[in-house]
Amino acid sequence: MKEILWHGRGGQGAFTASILLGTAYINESPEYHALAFPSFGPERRGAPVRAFNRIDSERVGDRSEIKKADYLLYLDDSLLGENPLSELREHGVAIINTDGPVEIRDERVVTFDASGLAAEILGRPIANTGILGFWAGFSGEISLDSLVTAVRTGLNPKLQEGNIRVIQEAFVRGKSYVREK
Amino acid sequence: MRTFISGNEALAHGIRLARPHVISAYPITPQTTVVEHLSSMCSAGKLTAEFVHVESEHSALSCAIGASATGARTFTATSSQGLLYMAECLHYAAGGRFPVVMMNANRSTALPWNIYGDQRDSMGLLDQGWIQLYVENAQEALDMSLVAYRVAEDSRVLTPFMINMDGFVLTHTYEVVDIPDQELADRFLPSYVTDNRFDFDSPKSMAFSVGPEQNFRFKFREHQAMNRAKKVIAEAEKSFAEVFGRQYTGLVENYRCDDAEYVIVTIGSVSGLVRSVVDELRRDGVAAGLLKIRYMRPFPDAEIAEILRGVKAVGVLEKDISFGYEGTVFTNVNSALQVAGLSVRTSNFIGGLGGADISREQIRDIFQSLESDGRRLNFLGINREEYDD
Repeated sequence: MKEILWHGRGGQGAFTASILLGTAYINESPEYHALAFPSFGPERRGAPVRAFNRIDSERVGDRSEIKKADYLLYLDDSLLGENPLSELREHGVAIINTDGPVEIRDERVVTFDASGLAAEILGRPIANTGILGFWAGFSGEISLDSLVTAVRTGLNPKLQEGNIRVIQEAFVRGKSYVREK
Repeated sequence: MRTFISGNEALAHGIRLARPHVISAYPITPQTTVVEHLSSMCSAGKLTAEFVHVESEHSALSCAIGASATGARTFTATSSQGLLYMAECLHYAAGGRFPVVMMNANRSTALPWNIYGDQRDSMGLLDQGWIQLYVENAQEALDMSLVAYRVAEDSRVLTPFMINMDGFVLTHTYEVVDIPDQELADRFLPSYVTDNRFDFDSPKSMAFSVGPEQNFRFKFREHQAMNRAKKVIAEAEKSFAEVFGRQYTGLVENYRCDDAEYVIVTIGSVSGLVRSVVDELRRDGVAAGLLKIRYMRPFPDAEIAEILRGVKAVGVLEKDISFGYEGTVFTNVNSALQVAGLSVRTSNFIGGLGGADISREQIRDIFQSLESDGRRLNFLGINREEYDD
């Protein structure tokens, strides 16, 4: 079982990204089962929101909120708070969208400027698909093809081409991050 | 076709495959996307149904009842306050023996205002004469849409059918769903044929009033029909498995209870988590089991008693509370045990009210507490000492 926890703010597309991620796993192999669900709370732009993915080889029955994740994905570095890795497993990885270094001394932390990449390609700093693409390239969990197919079936047609370019570029950067390490 | 969709979309596909003639609904969170999907399907020509946008839930069910009285297959969907606003019409549908199928997105009731999932809305309406099913995942929501019509419209039953889905946890969670072909759905679900309808060639009086003597007889027959649904549900699921290859477990599901010492009885979407904890505990040598109640009406009293025979302790976990007493599922389970002459230690765990998360640790704690003599009524995550007068 893989558990992935997204942190974002209302309007940043954390839940949308988690749906694309789940869809990509399904595209990857008929062996996969997946859940994607949001946290329940006030639905306001800018309010902290979470989204969750559970992936397994059999139907996932556990629908509770994820307490410890294999991957912790922050779409916004203003959400890091006092103890930003408390929800991360010992051998997990946190990927943080930020344009600068973060003051967390922990080798499980990886940073990537997904907002910058999106601003460059889409003209808007929407970080969700960038983090998704980077995570896929970094983790090797799913192929670029599965992810692109998920965007083609899951996103509004007007948003597809730009976001696919973001994902392609972020995927490459995630892969090379691993190589350079 | 294998897809990754929300529970509400899955249910909408199930209803599309059942080919209803009339859909009447009023949107309410977290049911709204069911109505939106069905409305889109109608406007795209993927579903040939009369879609009626009504101005309230009272009208939504009234419209479905009126349509059903012409022999049409009907659907409506609601949640929480909307279901409560329908309460008057629920009796009309049941008493008139109109087999309306309704999806209810289980959600807490005001006040305090809250749109998240618990089961107090439908549990408070067990006595309205509707079959009440609680599903556990999106695939089951789709599949049971077809089973619901087959059971409700059966001439031995003719009773309206409520498909309950936990709000958000099921309605808004995306998961893997197989959407079957129309051809299979048509093979499984016959068209609705009934004499209980307005007919110019064979005029009859319908939805009439009667005196006490006759009224009592009608109510007795309503009760009989509901009980007959037990057999019809079994038949329908057998046929469903033959056509679609997916087997459901009838009124209840017995998961590793046969040699169990400690059993959690529960209902709806939290069953998946309990099942997973049962597996964990079994690996550690604890004889744990899960008894999932699928149908609250008709109530599977004999099935429950049979499964719990010989168990040391039972915890009933539910997302509702009858204030001033205990959880309603608990009351019903205890009654089933008493009728069967069984003396099993039982306790009640109220959780998830207003959408509160129920965690793996809390399920483990329930099993742990079953091993000793605990309190009869427990509230997950509440420290009573903080509230004592």
